[in-house]
Amino acid sequence: MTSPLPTRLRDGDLAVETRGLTKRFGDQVALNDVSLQVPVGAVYLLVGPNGAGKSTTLKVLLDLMRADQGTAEVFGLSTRERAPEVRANVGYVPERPDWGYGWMRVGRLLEHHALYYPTWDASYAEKLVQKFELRLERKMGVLSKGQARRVHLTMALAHRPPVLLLDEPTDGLDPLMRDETFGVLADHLAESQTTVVLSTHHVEEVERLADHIGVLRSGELRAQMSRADLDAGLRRYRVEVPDKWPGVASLNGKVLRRVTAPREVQWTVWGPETEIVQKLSSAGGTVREVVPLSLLDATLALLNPND
Amino acid sequence: MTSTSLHPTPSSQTVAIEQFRAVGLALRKEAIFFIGALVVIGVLIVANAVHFMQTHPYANVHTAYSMGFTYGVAGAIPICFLAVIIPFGVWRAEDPSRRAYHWSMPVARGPHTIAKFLSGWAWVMIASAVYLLFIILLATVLSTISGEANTLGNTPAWEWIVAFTSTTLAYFLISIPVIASDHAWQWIVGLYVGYWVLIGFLTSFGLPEASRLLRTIGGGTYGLDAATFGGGTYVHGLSMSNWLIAMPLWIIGSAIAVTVASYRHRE
Repeated sequence: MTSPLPTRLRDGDLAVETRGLTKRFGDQVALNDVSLQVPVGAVYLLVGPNGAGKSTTLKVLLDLMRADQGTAEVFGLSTRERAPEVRANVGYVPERPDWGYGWMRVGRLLEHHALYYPTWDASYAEKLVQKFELRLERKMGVLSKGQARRVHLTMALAHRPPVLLLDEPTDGLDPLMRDETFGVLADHLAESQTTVVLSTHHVEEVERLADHIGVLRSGELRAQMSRADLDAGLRRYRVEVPDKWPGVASLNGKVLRRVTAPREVQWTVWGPETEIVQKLSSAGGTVREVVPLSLLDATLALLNPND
Repeated sequence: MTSTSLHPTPSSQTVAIEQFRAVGLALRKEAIFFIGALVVIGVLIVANAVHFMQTHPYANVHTAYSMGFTYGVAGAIPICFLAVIIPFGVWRAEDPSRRAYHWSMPVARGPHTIAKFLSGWAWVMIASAVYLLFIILLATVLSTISGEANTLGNTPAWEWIVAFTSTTLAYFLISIPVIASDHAWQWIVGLYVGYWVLIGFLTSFGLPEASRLLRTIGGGTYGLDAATFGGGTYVHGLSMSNWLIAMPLWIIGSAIAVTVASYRHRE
């Protein structure tokens, strides 16, 4: 008996919900029956290797792409049937750096964007422009990836949308600006009731922000849970074992990782701690340490392709 | 479902005005080229006329140049060339595979694309009006220089209107591949070359009737030539009546094609 990784959250108000999203590009399956549940006010970290389907999921939520099967909703609005209303309530930072008009100056692009969002907060936009050190007279097409990213973040945040979809929002930023950006995001969340779906490779930098996690691999949602559940259910066990130890038949949990060293084995296991410790002990091992994982380590364990 | 208060979408009027302004900005290079060309051509013609009148004080500028500064449908040809390149300016760096920003705005994709297309058309109409004003101004100046009567009043009204309808048709037709495809130029050149190659094949293989039928698309009574300038390969001289039928047919047909292209869900 093993504990499967959870893929459904407990009941609650959801800001974003997909049901059975499936998307194919020819023979390639980009999304396979993905049912995402993002609670209202959550900072939902969507992780997965390149090509896992993260960007495709976000594009389906904006109706930039349409799923072959399944449905998606933002605050109960179908992303397909009521796409303009959905987009009015979403701030989006895409993965691609050539977002907006390359021939337009930054200031004019922000003005253009503002006119499409009646809730645009001009003074907040001005604050973000200063914080991100944007040069309004420069043309979008000549900006570096990092500079363009900062413009995109301003566009996404300044209308204070109820939902933010951030696809690698700090890609191309130097460490200092990455830190600054997550600081801006934290301030934004403190000021505005916002639900965030965030895809990033810099998992360690959202350790304090993310309160939910969804793990995509090869288009499948492998796991989905709150940080509280993650912290409670995922542990690394360091066990001292005798020579020629025969091992343990079953740990009553989902083994995500196993690292063997002389007379020591480390397991990363999803499951009830007490029972797992009991199993290890009764199999002859001496449990030396049981530690919760950092978000980065947990992500790596959940993405481990060898389980 | 939650009680979160949702944000509204922008008004259609706001979107339309902003699209008109943004497209105007996108067409800045074309506008500079157009105004520059008018100024240069105007200055050259006037300077030449002044010089001619100074060296030939008893000549009249019109007959001497054989310019016969009358205006007719052929006068719309230069502005039609501008109308052909304007769709590429309207959708600058925004072929369908790079149009995601436009589509991500809180407006339905089809109407939003149509709004942008119509903004470009409005600028084409403005350019056509500016062009006709330039013609009128130039004729007035030349008439003043030469002392001859201004003959523009002899041009039938429908030939003036052609400046607007021919540019409309050119803009609509070129907008179809620009809105629908990442490879608009390839489609335009391919269709044009393919059309003539097919006619050549049909003629070579002893199918002159089929070839003639195909030619009517361009030069028939209600073909593209008739719709644009009221003429055509198989039409002798200009015909307002042919133009009156062909022009709306072609414009409506191309408008339908633009609408289909705009509403197609591209990813």
